[in-house]
Amino acid sequence: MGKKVLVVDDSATVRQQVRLALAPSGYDIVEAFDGEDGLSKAREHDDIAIAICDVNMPRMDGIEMIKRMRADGLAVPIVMLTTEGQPALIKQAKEAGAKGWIVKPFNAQLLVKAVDKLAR
Amino acid sequence: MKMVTDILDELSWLACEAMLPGGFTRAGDGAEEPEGGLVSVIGFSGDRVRGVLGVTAPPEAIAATHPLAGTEPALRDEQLYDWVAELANQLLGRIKGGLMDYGVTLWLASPVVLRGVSVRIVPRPEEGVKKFSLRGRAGDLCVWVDFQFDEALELERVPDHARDHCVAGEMLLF
Repeated sequence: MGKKVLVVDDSATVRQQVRLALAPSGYDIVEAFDGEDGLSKAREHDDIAIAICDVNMPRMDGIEMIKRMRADGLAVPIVMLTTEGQPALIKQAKEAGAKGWIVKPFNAQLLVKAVDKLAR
Repeated sequence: MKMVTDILDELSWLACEAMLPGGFTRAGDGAEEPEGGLVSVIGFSGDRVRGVLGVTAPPEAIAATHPLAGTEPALRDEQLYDWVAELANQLLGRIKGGLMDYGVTLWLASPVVLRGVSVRIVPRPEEGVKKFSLRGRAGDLCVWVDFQFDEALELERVPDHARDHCVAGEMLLF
């Protein structure tokens, strides 16, 4: 079994794109449809090697999800995958504990490179 | 200095042409929205600009733009509904990135799909709604944008060396 990647996005299309980008490199994908679901899945799977997470989502956004994960003691590396690109948000995510930021639409090779580098 | 409306039009066209793969070209004013199209809308707001962006196109045209087109035997309805919403989101994301080059920040709402309705876009120029029509092999796709901004707004491009935001496709590792 490959390293486990948690993909958190309210778009099923984006989750599927990430799956198709990472699966050939042997990563196993766990999907979540918003920050609340992502937090739940992160608590449920203690072997998540990295999370790829959208910012703007219903119920709980990605930055709030990072804060709650860190508060729970979950040290999973997290890369944001979002249409957002403003410095203030990037700074917020970095301060919350994110390790990277990718602006959609993403380049699959860059995503694989980031995951290969950061997955624990 | 360019007119604000010219800049917004340019950014909208750039977003459409960047997001839609080869096979879509700008259609003239005669392009019409067919019955039974998929429709999504997304709102945005900022300190100087706010409004709504919408997308409508027949399912076949939306399917042609789907990033997974060709990788599955046939895309299901729910996949098309999901993608038309994400398409609106990413189109607006590109416009947002373009506006950051002018020092304007937008906040995006969640996109919404309007199910079971067809929409015909008849812009009222006096209200500033713009329609961007593209012709594809699988049908015409229409993006409309309602930009609302203060009449006194002026947009001046931030010098390249002062640009500190990320744009589509960029990656930062901390």
